[in-house]
Amino acid sequence: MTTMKLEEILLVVEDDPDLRDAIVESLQGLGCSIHSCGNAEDALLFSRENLCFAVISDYRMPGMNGIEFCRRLKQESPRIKFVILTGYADKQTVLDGFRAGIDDLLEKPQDLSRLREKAEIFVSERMVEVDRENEELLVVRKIFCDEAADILRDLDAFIFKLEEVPLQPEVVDVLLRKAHTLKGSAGAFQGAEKISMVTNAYENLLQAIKKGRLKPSQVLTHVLLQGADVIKSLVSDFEASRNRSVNLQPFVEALNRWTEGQVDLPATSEMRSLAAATPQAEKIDDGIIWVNDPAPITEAKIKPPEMQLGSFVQPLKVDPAASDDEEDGLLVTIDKLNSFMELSGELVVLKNAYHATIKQVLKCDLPSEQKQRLEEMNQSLDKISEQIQGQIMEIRKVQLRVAFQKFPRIVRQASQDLHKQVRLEMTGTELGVDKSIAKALSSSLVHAVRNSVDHGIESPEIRIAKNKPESGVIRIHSSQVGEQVHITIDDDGAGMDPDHIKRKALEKGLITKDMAFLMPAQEAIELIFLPDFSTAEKVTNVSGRGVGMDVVRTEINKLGGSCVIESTLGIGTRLKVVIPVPKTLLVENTLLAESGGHQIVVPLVSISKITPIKDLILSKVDGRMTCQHDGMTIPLGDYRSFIEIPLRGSTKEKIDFSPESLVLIVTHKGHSLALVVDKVVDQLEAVVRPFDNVVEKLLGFKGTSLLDSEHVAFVLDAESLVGAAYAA
Amino acid sequence: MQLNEDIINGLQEALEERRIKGPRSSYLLVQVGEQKFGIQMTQVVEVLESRRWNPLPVNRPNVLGVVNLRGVVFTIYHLASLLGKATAGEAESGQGCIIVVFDGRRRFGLWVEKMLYVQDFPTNELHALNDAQLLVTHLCVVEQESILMMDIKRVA
Repeated sequence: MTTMKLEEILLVVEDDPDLRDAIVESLQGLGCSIHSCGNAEDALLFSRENLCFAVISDYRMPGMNGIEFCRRLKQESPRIKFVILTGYADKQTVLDGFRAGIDDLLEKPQDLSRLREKAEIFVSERMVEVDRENEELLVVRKIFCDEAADILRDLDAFIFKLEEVPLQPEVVDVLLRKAHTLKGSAGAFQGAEKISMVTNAYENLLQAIKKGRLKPSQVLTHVLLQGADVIKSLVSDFEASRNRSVNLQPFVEALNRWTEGQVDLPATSEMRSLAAATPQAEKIDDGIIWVNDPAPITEAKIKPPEMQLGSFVQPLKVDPAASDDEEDGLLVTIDKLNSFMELSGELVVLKNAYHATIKQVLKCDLPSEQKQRLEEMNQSLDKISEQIQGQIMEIRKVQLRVAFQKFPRIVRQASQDLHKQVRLEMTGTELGVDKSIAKALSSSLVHAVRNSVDHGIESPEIRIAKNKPESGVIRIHSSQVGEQVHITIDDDGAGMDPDHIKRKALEKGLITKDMAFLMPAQEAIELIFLPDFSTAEKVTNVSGRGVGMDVVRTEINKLGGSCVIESTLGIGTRLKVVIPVPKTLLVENTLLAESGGHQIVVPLVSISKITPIKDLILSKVDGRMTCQHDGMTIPLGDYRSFIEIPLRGSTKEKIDFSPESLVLIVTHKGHSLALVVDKVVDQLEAVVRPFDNVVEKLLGFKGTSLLDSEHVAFVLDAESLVGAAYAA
Repeated sequence: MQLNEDIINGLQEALEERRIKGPRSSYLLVQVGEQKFGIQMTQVVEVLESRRWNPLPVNRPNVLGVVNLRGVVFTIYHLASLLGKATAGEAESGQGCIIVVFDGRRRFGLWVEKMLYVQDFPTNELHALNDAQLLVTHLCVVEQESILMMDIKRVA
């Protein structure tokens, strides 16, 4: 019998206690719970309060008989399976029974093994139904979670707006609408009651603000942010089907006290009292306590809420001052957008195949008018394909406002923790950048912002002593210059001392004394980009682990960008980030070549030269084929020789190349190799698709590219090929 | 009056028929050597006949290459090789069938020389084989012939 457990009940109704026990006994081990009742009235009551999927009932019972019981039960729960056991019945009784909705009728005394078989069928059928219902529920839950993510996406921005412009009722209205919608949607879901409960209290608090009973303030902003965090965490839990028990009642009561104006404590104290009141629990972020159910907590820490709900959806219009109703766009999930992009890739593949066909057709003897028409169509297809790629890049753009929306909270939290006063000013955040760039900027620049608060801005006492304003300023400015995005992060803090940085680098063994002596000031300042480098005396929650600026540079470099730091002691520090704007993410200009019967695609950006092999001076160094290129000796071979021969001096390395072979000089990060190919077929606008799970680690290649409806070429990865060539 | 036996028998026959049609699973049967193997129909996406594949530029055990199916490129395994009954080199591109399957996580193809037919099996006649390492998970005996049922989730 099945090992799965059905979390529903099979109900046995029989007035004869001995037979009832025998039936229950015979049904054990079916994979569901069995419950029995001695009469139909009790059974009806039981079925109302419990989840029953099938009933096996006697016909003749004191009070209500089996058929009447079935009729009444089916009125309430028509999907429950119903079997009648009967010793005697007439034709009319049988017909009445089936009219009442019974699913089967078994004679009594019944061979209990047949009864068990019947019950087994009911259990199996119900399990299939439950599986289907669960799948349907998952779809509906996903819709709810997408909507919730949508609602919560810019909640923080509106809360800050409320603090900035307290008398702007539209902002409260937007927040109220968000809370109300979320509460309403959550109310429709089993398991989302907590979301509904907290959002209800949150909505009440917003109502109090709207009616003027509460005035927006820094502390109230903090309470609203805390509430938003809790709601986000609950939605995140619901989405991940995490069944953690959480004592939210004190939190809801705290919100209610705020609503009634009874609380004048800072929100953090209120939250921390919750932490202290709950045994077995750790303090989580801002003090919300989660306890795994039913075991003691093992994974109590949850990510900061701003990390949980990223910008999965892309706003086409993001204006915190505007109400939701005014939005004149659509919210498109990144998945749908990626699908659209992939489809446009199909068009490029089709275009490539069309080009190849047209080339052949034009060689045929056709009237010149037809040839001209075909060429025009070819060109039109090129243009349309290019325009579609451009439009997709436009659609993929996300305003930097979305990428940077967590920065105000981070600055607020860090400055509170460090007892500093810091103001954050952001300009140019309406600039749109590709989603991938926005994501990388969001996750990397956060370190730079934290560092500015921790190491840059001085404490109020020091600033006053230096005749600076008590409050420091961090300014983030974004702009597009030509084909580049420029971002600067300025602070008016203490600036960097190159000598201090050198000393720290010396202590950590990152540089030698001689290097330190000779190192110019600007170079010393850039030491902060080294991994493990930190000038902080101790590690704090804010920074000091020595990973932040390393992450910034690594992420920016990945995007093909650069970052430079300038600092003046006592005046402040500026981080300048420059990132190239990609024209297309999908299409790569490549060279299609043949090698050993395989078609390989080499990105043009990696090729520095193409030359016939007969023009090169070949030699063997340490058992490996090499050639001279720009005064350097570089490894030479076909792609297999670089990735399939791990040992130097292997006899397999002696490869006889045809004099007609061509050599592509492939370069990556200053290292080159000479890649021998049989012939170059064509230039190709390749749509590179990553390998699937099976061949994801195909050394030397990064994916495939479709040539036509059948043929697939393999796209060479210069980085791993050059890496393999020099590692061998 | 005692229950009319004709009515009871008629009703019970109808209900019995309904019972027999109960839990059953459909399998696509393929022939590998002398043995029949079954792939759950719920995991089969489609079957490509006489389809050529693009060999990998680097050899991989059990993998024949990749195909492009309406813009989706996926890997083709040699089923007989996976079952230890042949080597991938014995397969000939453009011959046999590629059974495209989806294991709930990814799509891939299984190349077989001969595909047979689809057959329903009562689930209670599928006997589990307790070896988590094996591609074959169940055995079903039909008219004295054993058919081995595979779980494609176990393809590496």
